Amino acid sequence: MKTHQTLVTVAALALAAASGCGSSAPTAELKSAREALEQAKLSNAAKLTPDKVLEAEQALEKAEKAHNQDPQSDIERHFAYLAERRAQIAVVHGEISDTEAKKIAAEERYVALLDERRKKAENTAQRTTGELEKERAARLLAEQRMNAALKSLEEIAKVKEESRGMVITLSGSVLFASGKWELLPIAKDRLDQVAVALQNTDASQKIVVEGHTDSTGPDSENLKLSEDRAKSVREHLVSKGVASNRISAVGKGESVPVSDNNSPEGRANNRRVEIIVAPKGR
Amino acid sequence: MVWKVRHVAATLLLTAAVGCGGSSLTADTVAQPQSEIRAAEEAGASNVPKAGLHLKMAKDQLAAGNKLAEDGKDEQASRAYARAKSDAELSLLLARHAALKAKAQEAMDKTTALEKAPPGASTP
Repeated sequence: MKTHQTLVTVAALALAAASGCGSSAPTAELKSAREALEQAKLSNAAKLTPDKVLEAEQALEKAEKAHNQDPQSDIERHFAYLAERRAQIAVVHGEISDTEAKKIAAEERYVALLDERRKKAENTAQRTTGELEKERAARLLAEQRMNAALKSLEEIAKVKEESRGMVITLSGSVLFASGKWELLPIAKDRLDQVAVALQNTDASQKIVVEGHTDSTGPDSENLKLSEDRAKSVREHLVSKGVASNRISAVGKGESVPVSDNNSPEGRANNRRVEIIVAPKGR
Repeated sequence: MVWKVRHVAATLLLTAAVGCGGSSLTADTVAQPQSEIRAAEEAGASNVPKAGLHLKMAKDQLAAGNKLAEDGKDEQASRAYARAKSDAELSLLLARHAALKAKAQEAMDKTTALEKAPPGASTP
């Protein structure tokens, strides 16, 4: 009887020891599930999809319970398997949520950029239209001024469009006394009007003042006189505001007559100053 | 095809068992993993390595469940179906995430291209 009791006690102790060893040795599945849950807790899921992490925690609790009740059993393995998957599912849910947020942010940024570009383009178009309108108005005004200046000029000079440009011809007898190159007072008044007209031309157009004489007297003297007269006219125009870097003076003497030098009338025509405004771009 | 026939047979057996009222297996127990597996396949899980792996695991668990059900081991079959379902669920999510990642990358590339494009250039 005593022997029997001793055997039962030994068996009970052995069973308890075996049972104790089992509870301290989880299955590989349970270890994996625990690790997976730790990873889930460290992932974006903890912040973005905490409910999924909670589900994984609950699944692991079941596995732990099974482990405590029946260590190393199929039930423990089964619940550990499910718990690991729940943890992995939680991680993917977190990643999906994170990726979705990034996608939405990129799409919103794209729309905002497009909008920004559209507004910029509209502003530029408006500004360009405004600038073009201003430019057109300025050009129109300049043309009107030029036409007005030319009209007033036609009263005191001959104005002609030629291939070399616009040619303003002033009679020498109106500008200078015979044999002189100093401008007469009346000549200055007329040249003042010419200066106004010239200032209304495009700044890129070059201006040449040409002095011409009749054939009376020696050539060399005529050439010198025509040069001095051209210079006088140039200086006056510059003094009245015509940019000095766009205007030059040249004497042609008697070399370019426009009329017959044998008649007094013809000679009068040949004594002249021509102001040539070159076409744009020349 | 053989796989499908087995599934139909297993489902019929299960339905019959449920009708008798003596089994832990229900029609839903086997239908759910099947449905998740189909969804994962439709989401392109086979084309995503990790999703493909879990899809295969789901199918293996489902097959094991069917075999156990045929052998009358309902409890074990039920657990195998549950594991099949969770693998299929994970597979489906992984496939969806891969597709979403591709779309997000596309959106980010489009935005970067627009940021780099000079003003007035035609938008991508």
